[in-house]
Formats: sequence, structure tokens, C-alpha cells
Amino acid sequence: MSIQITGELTLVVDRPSIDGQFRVAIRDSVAATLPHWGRATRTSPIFQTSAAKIPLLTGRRSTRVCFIGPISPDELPAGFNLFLSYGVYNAIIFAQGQTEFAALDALLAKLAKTTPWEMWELVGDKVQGGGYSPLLKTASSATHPPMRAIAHGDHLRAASEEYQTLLAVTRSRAAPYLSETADELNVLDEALNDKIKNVELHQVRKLQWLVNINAALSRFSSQSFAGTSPILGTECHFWTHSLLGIGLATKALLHFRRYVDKRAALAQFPARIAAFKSMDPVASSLKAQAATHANWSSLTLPAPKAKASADVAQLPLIVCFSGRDGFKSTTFTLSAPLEVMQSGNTCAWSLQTLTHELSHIFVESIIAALLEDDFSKPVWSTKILAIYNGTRQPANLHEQLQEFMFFAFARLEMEDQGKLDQIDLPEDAPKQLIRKHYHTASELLAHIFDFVHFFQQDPTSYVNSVWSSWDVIPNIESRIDEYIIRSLCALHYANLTVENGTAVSIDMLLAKLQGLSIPRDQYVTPAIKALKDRRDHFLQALGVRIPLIKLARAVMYSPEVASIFAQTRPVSKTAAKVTGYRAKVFTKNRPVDNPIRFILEHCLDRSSDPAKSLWVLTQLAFSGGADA
Amino acid sequence: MLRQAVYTGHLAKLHGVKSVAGLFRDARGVGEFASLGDRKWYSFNWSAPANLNLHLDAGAPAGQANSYPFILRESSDRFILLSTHHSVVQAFFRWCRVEPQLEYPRVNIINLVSAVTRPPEDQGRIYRLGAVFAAVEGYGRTLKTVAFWGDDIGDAGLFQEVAPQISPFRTALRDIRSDREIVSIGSGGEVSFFYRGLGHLDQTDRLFRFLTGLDLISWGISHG
Repeated sequence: MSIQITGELTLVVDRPSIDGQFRVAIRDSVAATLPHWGRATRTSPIFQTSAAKIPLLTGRRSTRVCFIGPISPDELPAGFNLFLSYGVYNAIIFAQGQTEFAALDALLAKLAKTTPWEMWELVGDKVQGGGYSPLLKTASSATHPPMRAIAHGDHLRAASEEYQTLLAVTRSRAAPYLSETADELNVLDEALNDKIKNVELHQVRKLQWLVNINAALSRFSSQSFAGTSPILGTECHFWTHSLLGIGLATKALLHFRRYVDKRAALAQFPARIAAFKSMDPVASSLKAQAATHANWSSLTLPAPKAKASADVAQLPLIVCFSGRDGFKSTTFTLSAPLEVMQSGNTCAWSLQTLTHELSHIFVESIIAALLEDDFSKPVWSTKILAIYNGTRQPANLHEQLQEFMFFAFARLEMEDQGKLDQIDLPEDAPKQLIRKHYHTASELLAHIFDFVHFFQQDPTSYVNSVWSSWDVIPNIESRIDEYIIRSLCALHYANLTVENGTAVSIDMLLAKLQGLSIPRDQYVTPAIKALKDRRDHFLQALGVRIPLIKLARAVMYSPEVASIFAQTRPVSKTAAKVTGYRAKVFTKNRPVDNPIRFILEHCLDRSSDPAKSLWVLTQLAFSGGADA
Repeated sequence: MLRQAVYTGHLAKLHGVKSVAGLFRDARGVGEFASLGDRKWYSFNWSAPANLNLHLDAGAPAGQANSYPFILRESSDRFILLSTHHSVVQAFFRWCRVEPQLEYPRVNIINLVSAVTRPPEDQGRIYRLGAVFAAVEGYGRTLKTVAFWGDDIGDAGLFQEVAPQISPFRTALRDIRSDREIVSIGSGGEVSFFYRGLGHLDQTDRLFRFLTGLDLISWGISHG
């Protein structure tokens, strides 16, 4: 059986007087509600399915409205007057008449032990009564560790108390609906605790982490669990979703993040980079050797060790939506823009951009594995500079790569100083320059990581995705060169060993940008003009960054992981349509097994389509079942 | 105008013939013989007699079921002849009664793949590999042939790992810049490409000059 989304409406709940009864209405849009907006008005978009009819809520007619979720729509039997939503209660059934009441009762009995629900009994449009799932009545409350003691006068006290309270709130509210988040929060809490207890870290840094986490946890909790039972008592402050929240969308984010975490952890980057320590350095300096040199072509990550994946699990980031942060990752958090709800079906707002944010996390762990803790000690800088100057030999391949990494960063400094042949390097130059250019370099490496692992080195989909997403960011005209260079570095990964590779990469980016069809584009046309008018500038800029790209090729590429991200169970005979899903249609027993491929195939639209966005988010929220 | 399609055939040599183009132009059933944009490339149609029973869907115009388009590249006594089906080219050779004078070359695909994958260290790759078909020796009956497809096979670690263990006998080369396939070539001189226009013919010329420059095409070897 298939369920198809056919249209969007707005569910409205209001209480005209403070001691009156709540009233329910279904309107065409939020705009139709605004003229009647009162102090207690709350709304959420709901989506009509193929079998649903809009119920008449008039006179003395009895209606039951049942909110169920989270549940995959294809798990619901046919014949119900079914609407879908972005809330944790993502299925809404309207029943009228004894036959429909009996069918609904039977369904709720079936769901009694698996899925929470809340029911309202209406007479006309007034809520007269209702009930809750037995799960909600009997669920045991979450367990909370005792609050960590923080001394009076400690700068972290307020933020820490806020954090621990938020953690308790989230654990409690998540228990019946997204119980799996409890374990993740525990892992995250331990990691944060380690950092807070670390006396070598500055208080301000700790405060920054706490503030970030508090903001993300607060958003996660309020967005996900607003609109859960009792619905009328839990308001969402994302106002167009104030009735039911957007818990389904955060569940989709969680699944996407878990899918990537679990598979990327298999790459074992830190362990494999550490294995370079037991390998001899190559005979001559890597700095002088072209990418075509055998030393480079044979320099790849050592093979991963079997069955070691449990040791290298990724930190489970707190996910949330944020209108201000948009797509952003920090040490503990991962956010996506609120626009995903309306426009997640488009290239510009597709969740595909999350792979870039997740790439940052991997790149940070790779750089950390290369630099290690010694990086901050003066003796490390002295050693690396001596290897760089040829007065000392690297002890192993790991040290040689550290020196090459410094060389790559020194090239960025040379560009800054306008001296591409030679610059003076003080004793602590390795530490200084790596710190100074860390952000620039990690951004470029994240683009390369994303291109290689998530975009499968496909320049067309990569350029389409990143430039579409940049095109909706305001006021970046002055940074177009940066964006061009990021794209060039990613594309050049595949052209490192090609004759006149930098020119080929520029031509390739030009061709891909010219092939884009972004309506009323802000930045693509200026980027094309810049590449044409200042070709030599970009040739030089790319040339400066080639060592960084070579380094990425040597230490950042895991073919095993790239292969996993590409795989999907074929469901049609044509390779081009491996996922074989029909937009806005839910088909039984067809969970998405590869969210990345699914998004790449289905989020390519130029115009917003909230119904399709809901379909994408619902598919992701229930993708891969327990495996996600 | 020559339509865009896959053309397949042979690189060959015709002994004792002064002008291959002249010979084919004058053959019975050949029409619309024309030079392709002032190059040494020609196109023509051959109306094959029905009793040859080719019965191939060549995309011929309605009512001309036995009419086949050809592409010819002439270079002294060597030439490339392509049509929409390999068997049509063979039938045309028989029709022209030139089979006894025909010689097919030996193209060293192993060295070609190696040259494209691992160029000298002071220069980069100038073609990408789009397909490699190779014999595998040493596994007896269990594994005999492998095929790789991709946009840049030579740059794939997996291919580089197995390259020493395989003997490529057919490969397809792609242009670095346009990222499009130029030609597929086999060790017995088999040639095919998707014709995209006159510029494509120039790319093909350059590619064959590259093969000749590396001395990868040998003549005068018995094929047994």
C-alpha cells in the first residue's frame, strides 16, 4: 500500500477566552489564520494524504483527532483520514462516526505498546475531552545523575547549571518519543565533563563550549518536544509550528548524523595516521616531489585494522535547527537552517550541506592525529623546522608528514606576505603558522573531504550543491574569491596528476558553473566573470594550495568509507535510479538505506515544495531503522 | 550531415592500394561520399544488398533499411573505417573484396594503460581512462577477465593495486578537459567512439598521434 501527500493545510488551535474551551480549525494557510490570531492561537502545517478528506468541524458533530508518533506513515493501515506533520506526532487521524471510531480504537490498541499518541474529542470545533497512550501514563521517568558541584564564584557556574538542567529536561521529554537520545547525551556529557575538568584548558574556552551546547540543547529540546503530550501545554517558539513542533525533522537530522557517524568511524583515521609512526620516511623530501612522483602515488593511509570500529566512535553531536546559525558544526553541536522545513527539497537548502559540516569534524580529528599534543610544545616547532631546513632527518613517516603539513601552511603564509619563493621563518614558525592558517586550511580540507567521500568525486553534483547553498547566503560578494578557491581545491583533488592540472581544474569549475541553472543567482555569474578575468590569480592561488591537496590525498582519503557512502540496495534495474522512490509517496517496507544518495537524488529542485520537503524528512527520519 | 551515434570498426592497413578513400568511394552501393570539414576524415553511405542479410538496426532513414553510414580516416595505406556495427564494416570489406590485402595492427594496450596511468614524473597525465578490459592470468579457470568502468580509472587506488596483475586488451580514453570519452581501442586495432562532431575527429587524430609517438602500434605481425 502507498500513501501519497497531496496538499498542505494549517491546523489551528485557539482559545478565544482565557477560561474557555480550546477550538480546532483547519485552514488553507497561516495567512488565513492571521486575521483571527489571539493570545492562545497556535498553528502547524499539516499535509493531506491521498485518502484524506478535510473533516467538517461544525454543529454538534463528534470528531476524534488523534496525534500519533513518531511513526512511519507506511506502517499505518489504509482507510484512515490521515494527515502528516513535522511534529514528533507526525501522523494525525480525524475520525467521525461509529465505524471510524471503532477502526481508530483498534489501531490505538495495536499501537499501545509501541507508539505514543494523544487523542482529542471534539464536539463541533470544541475540545471536550480526550486521552493518552498507555505508554505515556506508564513510562518510567528518566534517570538523572546528581548535579556536578561547581564552586561559588566560578565563571562557569551559571552556564553549567543551565546545561545540567537542560540535560535533565531533554532526557525526561525524550524518554517516550526519542529514547535513543538518552545514551547519546550520556556520551556527550562524559566528553564535555572531561574537558571541563581539564585544568590546562582556559575557562573562557570551556564557557564557549557550554554556551554552544546550551543553545543547541535548548533548541533541540524545544523544537522536538513542543507539541508532545500534553500538546496544549507545550508550545513551540518556531511560531509557524507552534502547535506540533518539528520533532520529526530533528529525528531526520539525528538519523542522518548517526548514519554518517557510524560509517565514517570505520575509517579509523586517527589510528591509521598514527600507524605512519612505524613506517620509514621516504628517501627524499616530499616537498620537492611532484604529485606524479612514485613517493606520492604510493603514499596512502595504511589499511584499517579489522574489528576496531568500536574504539573510534564519533562524538554524538547535539542536532538542532537554527534560523541564525544555519548549517554549522561546532565541537559538540550540528545545526541546520529552519528553511529545511519549507525548502529541504531544493539544492539550496538540502540537508546534503550537512555532509560539509560533518566533514569539518573528520578533518579536525585528522589534523589532530597528525599534529598530536606535542604541537603546542616549543620543542616540536624546533624539530619540525629543522626537518624543514634539512638539518635533521624525520624519524618516521609521521614526522615527515608533519613537516610537509607545515610546508603546506607556510605556503599560505608566503601568499599572505606576497613572497612565494622564500620567507623568514622564526624558531616557532611551525606552531605559529599552523595556528594562523588553521581555519583557512581546515575549510579547504573539509571541502576536499566532502568532495571525495560524500560526492564521490563527481564535480557536477558537488559544484551544483555548494554553489546553490552559497547562493542563499546574504552578503558574501566580497568573499567570492574564497569560495572559488575552495571549489577549485576540491576539484583539483582529481586533477593533481594531470598535465596542466591547475588550468584543467579552472576550466572544469568554469564549465560546471556555466552549466548551473540557479534562477536570479547572486554569486555564480560574478564567480564566472572572476575566473575569466583573473585566471592567473586563481592559477597562482591554486598552485599555492597544491601541497595541502597532496596532503589530503595522502592522509584523508578512505576508499572503504567512500565506497560505503556510495552503496545502496538497488531496487530498479537501471543503475541511474538505484533508490527508485517516487516523490511524496510512502511505500511499505521501503526504508531509505542510504540517506546521502537519497538526498542527492531527490533534493535537486529549484523551487520550494513543503510537501516534498516533509516527504524527504519523513523518509530520513525512518531511514535504516535501528541501523541508523 | 553525419549523425551523432556510436561508430565501431577497425584500424587497418590495405596493402597494394594507392588510395583507400578512392577504392571505397568507387565501390558499388557507396554514395554521399564527402570530406568531413577539410580533414582527412570522410563519411559515406553504403547501400548493402538485401541478400547480405545484415538486418541490423542502423538507424537508417525510413525506406533505406540496408543503408549504413560510414566514417573513414585515411593516412597513406593505413586507415580507420567505422560504421554503426562492427559486422557492417566486415561485410563492407568482403563486399569490396579487400580482405586478403587487409592487415590489422597490434596495439600495445598494456603499455598504453600504463603510460596514461603513470606518466613520466616530470609531466602529468594527458588522458583519463574510461574503461579497461583485461585478462587475468594466474587464477586458472576461476578468474579470466576483468572490466573496469569509470571516469578516471587510472587514478583509482583499487585499479592501481590490481594493475600489476592484469593484462589490459581494450581501453577507452577520455579527454582531460571535457571529461568525455574520445575513443575506445583494442589490442587488435578495434576502434569505436561516439561521434560528437568535427572537433571530436581532431581529438581522435591527436590521440592516435599520441599512440604513434609512444610506438604503441605495430604492423607486420602475424595474428595467428
